[in-house]
Amino acid sequence: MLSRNGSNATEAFWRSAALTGITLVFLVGLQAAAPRIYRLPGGRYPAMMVELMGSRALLFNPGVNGYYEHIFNAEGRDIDRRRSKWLSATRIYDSFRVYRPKPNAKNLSEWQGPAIPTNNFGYVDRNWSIQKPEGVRRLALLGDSVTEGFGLHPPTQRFGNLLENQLNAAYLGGAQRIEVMNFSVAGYRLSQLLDVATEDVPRFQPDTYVLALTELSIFRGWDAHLVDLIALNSDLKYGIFRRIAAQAHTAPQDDDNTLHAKLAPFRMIALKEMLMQMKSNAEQHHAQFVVLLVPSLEDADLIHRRFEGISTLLQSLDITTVDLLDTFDGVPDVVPLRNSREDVHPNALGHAMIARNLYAKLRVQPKACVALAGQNAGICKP
Amino acid sequence: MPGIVSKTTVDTPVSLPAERHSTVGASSGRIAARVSRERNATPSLRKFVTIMAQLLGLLFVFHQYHLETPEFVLMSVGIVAAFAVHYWLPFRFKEGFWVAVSIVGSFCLVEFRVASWVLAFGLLFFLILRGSASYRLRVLVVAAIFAVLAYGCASRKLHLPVAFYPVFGAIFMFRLIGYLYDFAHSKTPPRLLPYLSYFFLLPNFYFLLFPVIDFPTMRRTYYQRDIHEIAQQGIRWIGRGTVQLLLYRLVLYFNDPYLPDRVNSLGALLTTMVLTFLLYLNVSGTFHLIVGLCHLFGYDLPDTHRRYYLANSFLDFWRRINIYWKDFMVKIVYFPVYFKLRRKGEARAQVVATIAVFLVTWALHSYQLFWLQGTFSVTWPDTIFWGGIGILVIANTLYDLRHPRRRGDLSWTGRAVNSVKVLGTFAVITTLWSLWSSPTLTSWIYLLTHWTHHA
Repeated sequence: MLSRNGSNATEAFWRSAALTGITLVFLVGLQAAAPRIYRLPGGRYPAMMVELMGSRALLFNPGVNGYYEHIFNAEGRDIDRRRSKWLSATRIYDSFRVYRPKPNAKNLSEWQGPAIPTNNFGYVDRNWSIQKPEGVRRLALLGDSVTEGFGLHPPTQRFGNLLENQLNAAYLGGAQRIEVMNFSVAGYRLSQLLDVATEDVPRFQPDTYVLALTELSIFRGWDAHLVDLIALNSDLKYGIFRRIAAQAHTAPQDDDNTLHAKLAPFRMIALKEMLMQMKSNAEQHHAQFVVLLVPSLEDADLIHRRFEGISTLLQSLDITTVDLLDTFDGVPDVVPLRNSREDVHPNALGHAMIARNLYAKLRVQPKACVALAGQNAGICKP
Repeated sequence: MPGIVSKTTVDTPVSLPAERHSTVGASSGRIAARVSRERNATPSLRKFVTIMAQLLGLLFVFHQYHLETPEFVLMSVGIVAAFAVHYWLPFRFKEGFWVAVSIVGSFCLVEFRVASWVLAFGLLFFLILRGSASYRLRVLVVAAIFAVLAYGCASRKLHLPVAFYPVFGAIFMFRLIGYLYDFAHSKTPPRLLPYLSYFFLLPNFYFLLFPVIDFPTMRRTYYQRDIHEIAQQGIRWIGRGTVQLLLYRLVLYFNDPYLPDRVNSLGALLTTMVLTFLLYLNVSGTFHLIVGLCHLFGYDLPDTHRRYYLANSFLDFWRRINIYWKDFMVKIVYFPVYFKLRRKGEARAQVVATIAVFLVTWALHSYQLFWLQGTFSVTWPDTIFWGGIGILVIANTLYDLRHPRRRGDLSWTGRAVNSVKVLGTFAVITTLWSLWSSPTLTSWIYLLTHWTHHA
């Protein structure tokens, strides 16, 4: 009896080992075969599923949260901790924006590598003169970390600088020069960019306000800044935010998850009003307003899914839009274009692709082209 | 047998307090058990090579699929290396070696100060429990230390690292309760090695959400079978956990577009509700992985989850999902209440004990949040979820008392009825789960009704 049990156990051991081995070989084979599956007719979707199974990027930026995801996601209600979360040696507190980079900071980068300094005004760019020089067309580029060039060394490899170079190179006659002023700040949502556009930009008399919209401002984290402001019991400054907070019955005592949940129904209304306000703000200063839809390197088709409804919204507001979301379509493996495997910010290669796509789109979108390059730009002429 | 207790779904049923007294065996029994365990640890080169090959294969899959963070890779490589040494060690050194690996590993996985403080408090608890004061006094002192640390966790006024509290909570918040309960019924004083092996499990320093392993079960099952069978089962569970964690990423992907204001149709609502329930694959996958890793070192622990998406009743669901939690509740809440009330009627005892279980479960989930997040919150969704599950389990228990189940109806009708029951249970639990995952009751109602404005 004992030996039969023993032999059964031994048999079970080898059977289980064989099954485990087969499973492991299958998993490894699946991953190895994914690029080939991608190229087969109808193979894109299954290859995408394999790619998703092997990606950790989605874990850091998921669109949904369950009970257990909330556990490790909550911010808590400690005001000092919340405030200090954003602050560092190179960032200072701002009562509305919560934080802003210090002017003339020696190195904004938290990583090793060449220093990323800020200019006199606290932005990652060259120093600007307040007075617009003669013969210069100024574009105020507003965005978040993608547009700021997060992770790029030097940051001049970002698509904003590449566009500036391209436009200047292609400018017919050379009588006018394009100056792209990069007002982007990592982590800024649309609500913070609205404040930048209202408070900081006008004194530089830009000809066009260019808003680079990424998923950060339009998807799940769109309200992160408002949540911070409400939790810090800060003044919401703009009527639109005060109205939304009142309608959503938010309270400083609410935890983050509760605040996000309360604000969730107001996402599209808030986006719409912020965009309208930015547009009218630009028009008040005799400038044009253009929106770029800029992709980050999310897995699979997440970017398109997350931007659903945004183009329609922009169209309804009659805002000139350049949709760059297709920049990385057809790239089977986006990892080589990322800063790192888990960091969905584009690297220098990714920025170059965005700039190329933007330039190509401008050539076929005269209205956007004129808004950016000006009436006399040769590239805008058919 | 009380309804809430599973007869069939747990490998090692929770022993009753009365039984536990008698299991504190005589020394001859202990010697026999030790001899049997030593025999079960007999090495075999062929099987060792097979196990190592699978473990290396698993490490490769972890790497290929980027299963977890670099700390996890460090931990899993360390565990595989430790297994390779542990396997060949004489039996008497095995557990000490594993404890040493866990303690040294803890310093690699968390900050030095955090690991030091956790170790210091762990040893302090041991010294208190080992002391000669009355049981009640020792428990009071431990509770007082817990209260001071809870104050520190909430106020951050103690000079302890902020990262200390979640790690401390993950290790001690539940298992110490169970340990103290068992300690009350034990005739022997606590011993250091089993104590350390129970609390200082290396994976716990990485996975803060950790199964509530039962101390007597852990001791009883230590090398209870041939190590190759135990390790092989562990590897299978690690594999199962890995697959579940990979599937979890697909669930995240499919659920990604469904922000509350984008749930514009009934189909979208049903899809996101089901996917929200499927997010639990992350927890069950992690628990399989953890228990599988423990198996490599001879702890023949039972399954943590068993086909919970296929439960055919609410009682069945409660028995299949997070089995360790169910066992923990049965031990510290259900049995004490049930045995106290049993004389006044079976049904009454069961109902009151079940109510107590769900009340405590509800409170302990907030307690868990407190240690992991540093804030204490009681929400309506939490309350309604546990209340709802509790009521359904009680109704199920009473129904089963009146209508004893027929087993194994394999006819087509029987299978069809079972399928309907599985679907019904899944639908109700999915609905309740979506409520539980909503931060507020209003946001859940918004989620449920938003699509009607677009219909």
